[in-house]
Amino acid sequence: MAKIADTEENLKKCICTGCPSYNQCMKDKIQELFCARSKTDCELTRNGCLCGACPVASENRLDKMYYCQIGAAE
Amino acid sequence: MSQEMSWKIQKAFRIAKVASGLSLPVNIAFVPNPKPGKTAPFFYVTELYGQIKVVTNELKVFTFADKLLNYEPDYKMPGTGESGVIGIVVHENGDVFASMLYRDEKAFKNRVVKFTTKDGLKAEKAETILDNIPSINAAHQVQALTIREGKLFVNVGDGMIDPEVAQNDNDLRGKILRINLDGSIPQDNPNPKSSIYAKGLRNPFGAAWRKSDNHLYISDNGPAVDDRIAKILPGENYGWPASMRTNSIFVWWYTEAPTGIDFAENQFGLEYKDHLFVALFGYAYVEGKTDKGKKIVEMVIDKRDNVAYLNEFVRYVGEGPASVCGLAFGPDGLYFTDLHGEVGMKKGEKSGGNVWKITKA
Repeated sequence: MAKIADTEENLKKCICTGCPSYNQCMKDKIQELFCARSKTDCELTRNGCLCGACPVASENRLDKMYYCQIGAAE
Repeated sequence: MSQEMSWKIQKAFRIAKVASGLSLPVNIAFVPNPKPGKTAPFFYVTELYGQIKVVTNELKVFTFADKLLNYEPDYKMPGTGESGVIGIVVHENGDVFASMLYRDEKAFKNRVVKFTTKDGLKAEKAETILDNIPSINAAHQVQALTIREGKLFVNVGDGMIDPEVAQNDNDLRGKILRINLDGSIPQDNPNPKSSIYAKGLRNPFGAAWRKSDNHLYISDNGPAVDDRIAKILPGENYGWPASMRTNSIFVWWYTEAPTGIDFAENQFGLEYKDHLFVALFGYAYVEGKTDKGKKIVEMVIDKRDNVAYLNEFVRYVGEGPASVCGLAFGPDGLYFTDLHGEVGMKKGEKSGGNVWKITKA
């Protein structure tokens, strides 16, 4: 079960869309809050990760990066 | 609530706004030997999206240099809007050095520019002395600049994408560089053929020289955990990406995003002399109170490089997106920028960024 709640509150705090690795495919599919939902099915190039600067990650003491690639926190 | 009331400070101190209407003010650099007269330059401020402002002795603000970015920032904070013109330092002869991002065809790169000026109020010539260092249009770019004994020290972030570059001796990312003021490599560097002075850093935003031991100290931002303060020794390896703790003197496990740092001299009296003041920015953009950052902390570092004392010095308690970004001691107090100010900045709008001064009552 995912550790992070997929809530409107967390979605508002989510910063995935400002990330250098966030791409047009993710935008078109309206994908975000990867740490609560799941990894992207879009082709991903690691262009940097903002997870460490995200309020959702911080409040939930997440210590990994690239949740868009590794999937929801467990 | 007045803007002064938005800052909670200790009873023995006062806070006052000294410059306002700035556009995302980042770092402050004081003129080493300011000239007398109301119109002489007192300090300079970098503005993230492409300007340098100069503030005179009578606290009037002028544009020293503008249009410094050759790309259009996208205003996304946190993220791809966090980069631009960051570091600044002023040489004794009045030359101003600034670090910034530029776009070379499709790639973002780091550079350092030297500005020469006659009156200190307007840059007359800009010369790139260091460039072609790969970067990213986000944090982790080229950061603080300092000058010591005629050499320029340059904090360079790891570029975020490939942290391993911080250990690569042929790559200038994730390093502290030491160069001559014309960009050439000093022969007395740890490796006389390299500008690298220290390696293994991630996102070293702040830097300050400590007079009591003549060493450079830096702030460095960790990934999800482990922000740190480190004392920089020539040729030393600070561990990133394997660890953010290697050779650190203080670590925040719960990250606070340390930005500007500086040591007090006599501005607050003997009681505070040689204490390190650290800006903790926190999240890139959050309105109102938050669980991290938006404060300045005071540290006492003992002779064995242990942090013997840590105390919250200033905290933002207002409702806006302001936080503490750049920080520097001037002759009469501690100055800091609040980046977004009370109102923030959106594309096409003006920012209300400010410079504040804290003095002992």
